[in-house]
Amino acid sequence: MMQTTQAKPKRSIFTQDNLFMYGMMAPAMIIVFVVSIVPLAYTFYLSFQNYILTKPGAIHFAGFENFTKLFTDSTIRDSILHTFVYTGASVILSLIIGLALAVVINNVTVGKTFFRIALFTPMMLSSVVVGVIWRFLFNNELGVLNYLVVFFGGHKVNWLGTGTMAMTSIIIADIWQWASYTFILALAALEAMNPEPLEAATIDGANSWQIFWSLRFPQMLPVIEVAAVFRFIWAFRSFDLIYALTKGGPGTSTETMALEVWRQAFTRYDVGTSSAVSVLMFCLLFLISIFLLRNSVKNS
Amino acid sequence: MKQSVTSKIVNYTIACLSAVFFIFPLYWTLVTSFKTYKEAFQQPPTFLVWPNFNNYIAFFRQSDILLFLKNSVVVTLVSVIISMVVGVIASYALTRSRLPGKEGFGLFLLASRFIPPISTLIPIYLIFRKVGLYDTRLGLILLNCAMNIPYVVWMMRGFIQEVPIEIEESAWVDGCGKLRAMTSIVLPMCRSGMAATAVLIMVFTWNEYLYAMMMTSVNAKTLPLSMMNYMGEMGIEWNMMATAGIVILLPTIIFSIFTHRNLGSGLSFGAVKG
Repeated sequence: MMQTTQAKPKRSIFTQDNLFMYGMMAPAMIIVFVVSIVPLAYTFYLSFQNYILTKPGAIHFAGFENFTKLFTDSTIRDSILHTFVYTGASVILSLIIGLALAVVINNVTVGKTFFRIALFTPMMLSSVVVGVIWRFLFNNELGVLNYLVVFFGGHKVNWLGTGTMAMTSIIIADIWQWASYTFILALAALEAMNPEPLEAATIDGANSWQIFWSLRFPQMLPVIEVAAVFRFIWAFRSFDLIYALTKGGPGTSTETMALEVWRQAFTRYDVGTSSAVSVLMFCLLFLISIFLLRNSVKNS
Repeated sequence: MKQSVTSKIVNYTIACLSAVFFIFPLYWTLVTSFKTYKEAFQQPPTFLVWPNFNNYIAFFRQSDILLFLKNSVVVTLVSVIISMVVGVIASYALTRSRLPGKEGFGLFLLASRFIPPISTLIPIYLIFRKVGLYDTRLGLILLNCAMNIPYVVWMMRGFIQEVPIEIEESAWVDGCGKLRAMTSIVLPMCRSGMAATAVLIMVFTWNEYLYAMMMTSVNAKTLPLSMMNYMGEMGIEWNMMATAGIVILLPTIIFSIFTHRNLGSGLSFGAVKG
């Protein structure tokens, strides 16, 4: 019998087309793999080693010793707590403030462009510079904030001098920088909205509060979700701003996990412990982000 | 929509107060940068000063500052170009192909965005020391690319999806190659999305501090590091610190003023679609 050659085309994944597409993805994958994933794996490896940077050649396997420190060392334990306090407060407050400002600016007609730029710019700025600027503003003796507080009849505030106050100050500076992110996302969503249902609702006698909750808010929800996830990721791993403002001080009262990683490695030269904090930080960030993103990942 | 007079007053009051809150720190930095060392410490402080550029002249007269500036410009431009080229083509392949395992690649890139930069700092430091990338611009470029590429892929996905695939299909039928269809049809239609993405990663790279601080010592220092020169043993030279701050911020403020509209919609589109 003659063999028929009219079989279906081969369903190999290595068609010319697919190879071309893989080739287009390859550079991105390789760079990210080599520069992000390999070092991350290295960090996992180091977290199981006893490695003091000033004693090279003295690396040896330490088992879970570094990880037990996460629970026994009170500074590390506190840094976990500080991370959640800072992240929680700054994400929630910057979301609320950004959203409120978007609603307000959306109703403004005179000078709207000016307000947009003024409220959008902070997120574009270098966090280190923002930290230094706020450090100057918060300065106890010559800071302009205390001058204004006294001028308006208040008592000097020790902005960066006590633990609770320093954390509050960091959160203020963080909101100053990042409310703009929610603001610009929410404003874009508001501007893209169809005005007709809003007008109809107004004619039917709905007040602006009702209009906001029943018409505007639901439409902004996807944007708010996205803003929450990204704000969470950024705040959780934020280093620059806190480093410039307090370096974790006074004492270790504003030390977050990111600063603890840095302090363990570069002032105590304890690479093993530093890596263990890194691993914990990555795992927490990864799990919480997946949890927050589960809906959007499912959809796409 | 008609607004009552009270709600108008409330809106404008909140708008003006928040504008003061957001602008004042920058205004104060600018004013401080015009002051002398003594004036910066003066109590009560002066809120209005005549522009005086002596600090800026002193800032740019430092022996190494032009090197910092050059490093910043080179690292930023090269990183942005590489990240955009590599990221856009990867994004196109992820969006437009039916490759087996493509979701895996997409998730891989998404997951790499969760890695805190600080948690790979020590390994990268050790590796860079070994392979000779420590204190080089190339090293910083690589690091910035690795951080930017996942972002570009993710943002561009949304923009590429918006282009109807029928346009490309008819081009393929007419004998146009895949690569040409992408470069001459799809990408021009995503121009504004690409511009927004490029501006954002340019700003990220320009502002990048942690790696620049830890991976450089003499040759590859970037501009944001120049600020710390003024935090000496004898206290902080606030006026010079403010001057350095303004120099570092100025390009990003200008970008923000000229691209805020495009960036705003691009950010929200990329974020929600991607």
